[in-house]
Amino acid sequence: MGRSIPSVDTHQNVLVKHNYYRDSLELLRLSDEIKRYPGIMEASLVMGTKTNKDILIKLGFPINQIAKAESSDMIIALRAKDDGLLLATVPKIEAILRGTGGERTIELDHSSPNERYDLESVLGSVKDINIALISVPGEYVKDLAFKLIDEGIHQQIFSDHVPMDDELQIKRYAVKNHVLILGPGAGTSIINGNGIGFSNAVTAGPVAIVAAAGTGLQEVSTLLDHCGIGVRHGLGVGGNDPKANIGGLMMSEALKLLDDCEGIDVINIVSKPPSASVQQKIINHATKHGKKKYVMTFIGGSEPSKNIEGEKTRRSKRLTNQSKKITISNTLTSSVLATAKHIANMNSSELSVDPIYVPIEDLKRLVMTERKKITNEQKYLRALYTGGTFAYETQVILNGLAIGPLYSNAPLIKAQLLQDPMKSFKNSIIDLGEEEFTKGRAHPMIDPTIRKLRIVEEASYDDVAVIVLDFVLGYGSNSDPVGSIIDEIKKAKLMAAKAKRHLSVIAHVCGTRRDPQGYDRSLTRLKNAGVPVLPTNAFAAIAAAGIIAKGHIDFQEAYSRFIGEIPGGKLT
Amino acid sequence: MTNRARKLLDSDLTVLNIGMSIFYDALQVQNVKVIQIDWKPGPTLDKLSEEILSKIM
Repeated sequence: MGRSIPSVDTHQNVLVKHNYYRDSLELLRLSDEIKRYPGIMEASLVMGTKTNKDILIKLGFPINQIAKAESSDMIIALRAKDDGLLLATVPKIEAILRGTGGERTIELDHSSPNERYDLESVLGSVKDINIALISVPGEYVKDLAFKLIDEGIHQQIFSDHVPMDDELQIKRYAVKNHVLILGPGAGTSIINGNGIGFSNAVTAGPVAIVAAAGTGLQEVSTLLDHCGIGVRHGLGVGGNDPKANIGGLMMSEALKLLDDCEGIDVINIVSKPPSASVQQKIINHATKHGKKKYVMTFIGGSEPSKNIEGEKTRRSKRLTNQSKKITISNTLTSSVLATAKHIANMNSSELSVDPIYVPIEDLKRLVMTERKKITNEQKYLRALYTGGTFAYETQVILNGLAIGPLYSNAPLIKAQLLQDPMKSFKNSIIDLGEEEFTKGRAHPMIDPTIRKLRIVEEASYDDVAVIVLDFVLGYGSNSDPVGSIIDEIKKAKLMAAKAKRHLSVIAHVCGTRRDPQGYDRSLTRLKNAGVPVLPTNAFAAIAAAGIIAKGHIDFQEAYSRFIGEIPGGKLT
Repeated sequence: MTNRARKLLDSDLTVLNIGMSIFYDALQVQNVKVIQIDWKPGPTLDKLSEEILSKIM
């Protein structure tokens, strides 16, 4: 990322407080509040992790003052119009921090909980707790999880970086004690229509989701909502669960649980392709014991919406008879269309998927319009994702359409590993939720700082044609994901225009009309900034691929492989 | 597993939020009962103290 040099008429100060911990969200809130003080131009309160130190340097703060900070130290970096303002602000921050020392922030933290309690006293006195949401650093999770299992409390573990061996021990102990463990790394769950973690305001209805991919759960549930189909439960089991080491322990438990739920007609399983043994276990469960219709969304698996009877193996009479109840999909979009088809069939009614479907001719038109504006020197795309599942799905689609050379910090194929995650190379898909961007920082769905810097940097390269962006609305996310970044999008486009280039920015907004951030308002602001907004990530990926390939991709094949064509946007 | 977990899906939620307060806010907005736990990691030692401790222990 390029370094931003402050103008000469600004004044700055960097303080390091040793062994002084506050969680990244408290610090983000505090930074945002300080930035609103008159005359303060930049305020960053962060823990001294490598990522945070790199960002401060890119924001133009002096390296020598930042370098010595350790990850357990807090850095306060301020820039103001004059020294007087700087001097006046530091004591205010110190006073606020003294007030936050594990207690409520008195002056600034208006929306934080009114009371905070000690774990032991709560466990001893409150008897109706049925689930804990855990978002502490990964190395502390195991002890907490065991303690809560002993109390019979189900858990959603949001925390990343929990060692795989810890996860296995936690889950085995939980199964033994009849406790459900969602995660680690489970950003999203829906229980009885209530969203836990990053989640959207969706209507409760006849679908349940088991997801090993948090943004995948959000995309599927919101797209179904746009089609008028509700989701009652969405259980996020964490990305490691379907791997051979964990053996799908909680995926299996979740499936058994949802199979017994009344009012659920379709169960959608969303995951990267599981290990062979876990996949077989899931299919066996559905075919032998399953009571519902199933859509198995193995992102990057073989084909979209393939009926299980198409499998060449195990074509027993029993399986063929059962087969209509299982569909295998390979993208989130094809999965939603398959789920909608099950619902339409069960209700014997016509169901419109217009809100989430782009007819092939419309997509071609969009691609050609953008394509005409870019120069021959503009060859590459840069996708800057806050949602990890979107980064993964886009790689599946671009690899499938032979768009290359392709690189990522979270690559599908080892050979496509981006050497330096901070610096894109050729076509790059960046998952900004990966560890190198989040250690000691709030997730990019909450804190837009890193993406803001990166958009402007990508726009400075002559060979970049397309930037792809996701915007995830809903509970837990930034209060205005589009608004927080729209100035940088405009700036990026303007920079390119000054260099006589057209920078194509393609977006997808994952959310519903009842999400607090305003779905329609988000779309309008993007469109007004010249950003085409696609209804699903898969359509955005195909559009970006089309622009990069200068229109020379087989759209029919792309739809056939990753979407599934729906004549007239109607399912019957 | 099934009976205890089914109860979770059938009951009103009471959530213990251990960690980021943004999730407390998100649950409150949905009128879900939630209790915020005050959680902080144990203090970390500086390198010199670690070395001294490792020698004497």
